[in-house]
Amino acid sequence: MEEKVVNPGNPDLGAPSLPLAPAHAIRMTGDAHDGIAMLSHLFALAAGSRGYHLYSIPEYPAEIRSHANTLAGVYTSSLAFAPYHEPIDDRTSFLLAMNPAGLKLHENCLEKDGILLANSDSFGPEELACAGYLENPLAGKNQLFHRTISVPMAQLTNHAINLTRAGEKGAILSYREVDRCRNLFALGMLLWYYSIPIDPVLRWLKQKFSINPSILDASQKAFKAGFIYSETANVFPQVPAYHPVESLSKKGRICRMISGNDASLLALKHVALKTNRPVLLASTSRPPSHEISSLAAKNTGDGFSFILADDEHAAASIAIGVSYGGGLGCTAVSGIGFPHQSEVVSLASAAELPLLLLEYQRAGISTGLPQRVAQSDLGMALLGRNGEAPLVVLAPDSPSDCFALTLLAAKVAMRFLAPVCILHDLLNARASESWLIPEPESLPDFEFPHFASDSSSGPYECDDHLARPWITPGTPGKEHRLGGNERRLNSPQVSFLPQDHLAMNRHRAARMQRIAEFLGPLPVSGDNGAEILLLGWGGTKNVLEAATALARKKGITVAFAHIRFLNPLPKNMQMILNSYPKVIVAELNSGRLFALLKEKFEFNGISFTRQDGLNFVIAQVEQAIVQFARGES
Amino acid sequence: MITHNQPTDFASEQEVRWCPGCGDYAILAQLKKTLSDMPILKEQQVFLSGIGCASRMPNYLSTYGFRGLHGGAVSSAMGLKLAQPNLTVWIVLGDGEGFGAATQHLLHACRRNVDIKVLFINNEIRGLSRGQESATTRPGTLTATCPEGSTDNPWHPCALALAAGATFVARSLDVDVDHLGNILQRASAHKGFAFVEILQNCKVYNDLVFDNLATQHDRPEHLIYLEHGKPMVYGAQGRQGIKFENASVSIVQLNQGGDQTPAIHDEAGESSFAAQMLATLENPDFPECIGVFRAVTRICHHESFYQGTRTPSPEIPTLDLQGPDSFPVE
Repeated sequence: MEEKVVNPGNPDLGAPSLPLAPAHAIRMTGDAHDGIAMLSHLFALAAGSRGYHLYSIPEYPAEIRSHANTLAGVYTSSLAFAPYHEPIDDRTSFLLAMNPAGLKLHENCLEKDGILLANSDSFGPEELACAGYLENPLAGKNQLFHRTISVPMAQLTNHAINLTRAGEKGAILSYREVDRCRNLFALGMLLWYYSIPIDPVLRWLKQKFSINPSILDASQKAFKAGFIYSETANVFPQVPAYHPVESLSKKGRICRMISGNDASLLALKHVALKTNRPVLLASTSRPPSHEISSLAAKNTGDGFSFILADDEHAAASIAIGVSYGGGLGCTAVSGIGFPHQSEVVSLASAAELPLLLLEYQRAGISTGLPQRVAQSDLGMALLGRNGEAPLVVLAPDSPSDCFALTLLAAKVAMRFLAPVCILHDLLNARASESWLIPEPESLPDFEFPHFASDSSSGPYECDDHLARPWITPGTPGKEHRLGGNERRLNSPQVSFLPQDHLAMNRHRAARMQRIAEFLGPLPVSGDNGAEILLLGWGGTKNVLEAATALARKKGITVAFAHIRFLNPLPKNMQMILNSYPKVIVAELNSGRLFALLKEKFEFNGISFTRQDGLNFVIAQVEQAIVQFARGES
Repeated sequence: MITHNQPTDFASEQEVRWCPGCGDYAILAQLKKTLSDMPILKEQQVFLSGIGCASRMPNYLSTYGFRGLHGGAVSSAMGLKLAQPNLTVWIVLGDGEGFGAATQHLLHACRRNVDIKVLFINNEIRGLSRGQESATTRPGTLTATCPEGSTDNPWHPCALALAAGATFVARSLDVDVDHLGNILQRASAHKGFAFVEILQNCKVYNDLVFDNLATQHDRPEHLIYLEHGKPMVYGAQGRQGIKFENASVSIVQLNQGGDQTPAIHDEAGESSFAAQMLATLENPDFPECIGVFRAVTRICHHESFYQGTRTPSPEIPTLDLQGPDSFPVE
């Protein structure tokens, strides 16, 4: 019979109208072998079931196989959670440090009054030296945080698992096996502290380890021990203050945590199913685009396939070959691989073929810092081609938006026979968030008039969208030649005449305007008649949105808009910019979007940027809004 | 399925615009003949190319054609075969592009046995850009960018393709139209990666580079016509032959008594090593070889690619949006 564990701190957790904890940001850090990824995943699962919206982003070790307990071997997961429809908080109020190296790297992120929960068993002299601590930061005169909770998690886990089994022949687990359950002990403590029910985790463990009863038993014991220990040992000085929320609008719906990469992949698979055309992703091993490559390779089938190309030019060329053959050719690319593909994008523009680029921005120039966050490639995406070759550029605003936006990108590419680039950043590609799984019938279809192979038009006769019919090899009686040479309008005939070139340039620009109409206007949220507009793009949305909420509390009227369509820009861009006396454009680069907007439109605005490979901090954005609104900057 | 096409059915509406006397005219003519003889519908034939004189070929054929990037055709052809495995896909490359921008795409396509037919038209010069040296230009050749004569060591295209794992490798001559026609027939029938080097004269920038092979009269003295299972002999009445000895090739004089016997050509040997040696033989020390160096059968790229789970068409399409760890909100 399953042991029933109740939350002693909050015995009425099961009632439906219970208060939720306010927004919190917690950070879990430790050695690569401390099981932080699983801990974070299970915390998200449990908190998500409770009705929280979660956003989590991992930080991988700097080295693949580093020595134990070194700074280079630290794995960290940052997790922000808030009730639905409430802004997140990015101030870390809880830091779980499973070893000194993790603490060393993240000691500056914890709020002064935040809680540090540490596995004291890992804070021996050797581990401290590895991390560069001369004295123990958990206790004594060098104690870093006054709310430090030291727990000998390894010993307690061992007791929980092995002492209860004394006398049972062969039941004692090895040190190594016990050690792998330490993260579950920590998870139990965290869930108790946040009053989150533990049943989803127990269910998960049962499913995961059903074929190994011994491990299942050990993991359940370690997990429950952490939960119970928090109560009985009275380790936490106080539990967070809860405030009531009106309702859980997501109640009863099915959720999951989804990363941007998961979402993009699901969308590509959906396109293959709906169009019944091959969808192929071709990419290389260059980070961080290699992450979706690995994911794609494990999820081929049903018309979706993946190929690892030998370089980026080959990847994009394979993709355009697929599109020429009537499929959707996609490529994933990062960093200096992106300029390698520039000429293929140019060819797709000239030949009018669909091409989908999933571009994963990273910090730095050249090889730079492949694992750091930046919105570094907007300039390249907008302008990085020879001649006037337009590229549709879209950017998702959250991990789950990668699903909707990839579907939209595929639709634009196939409807207009045009190259489309999705500018990802690590804030949405690698991060995960809660996602309400859409009903299958709510997903878009892909029926376009020019899919019909019996079209009576010639291969370059445009329809009212200024798109040519997609006539593919194998279609009888429609044989034609196409390619990168300039041609005559509405004809495949190669032409080097000035008037034809001018007409084609105008045609390509006009088609971008049709695409802008197809994509629709930019929505603005926030105060009517606001004194200031905050404008952003990409994966910074949740931080920017939270900053506007804080600024509003200080009496500033703020509007907020987050651009998902960067080229062509939304048709109402000029109108929006002119509707507010002041505009702040926030982005993780040197101010590329700001420069673009300034070139095209007249408005009173400033650029707010960050370029050190990290995301914005909510308080800093809030400060920028307040200062600009009050005329202090 | 027989299509009963005539060679003229494969001419496009475009006016052919190569220099007078260019070897490409002969290649185009043989290509049209080959296409008309193939039991494949015209709409199933696709020609891809990049940039260069030879790369104009797709414009002059009435099949589907795609003139893309300098160096991009091989990879695009690979993508096309994955999208539509049933198409017959041809690529036309000159030596400037083929061993310039396209080199690594080409070598990888060899090892992957992508089911495409590559016509590597080798005139040992970059013609369209007005006469610069390529990776096949012989040392000493005067070019636009080597006025003192080219100094770099050239590649042997067929030897490189063989070393990279191509399953069909052959060489022919633009002026030997019957031989060229036969080789194109063989290449078109090959299942897998077919590499055909066609020695072609550039009248303007590298005229007479294949002068030793140009006239029908001279050819037997300088050339071995490779035939599977036949001895490799040359010269008038086959006076001379070649044999393999100590991992190298030597010349044997025949009909002079003794036990000198020429080696027998084997297209399908276990190793491509002997074929690679044949592909590097050069006048004047050795005869040069034309014909099929190697023809073996191996699984094609698109076949191995779609094996297992990577099925191209779904039977029961479903999309699992939930994944393994979804949960109801309580």
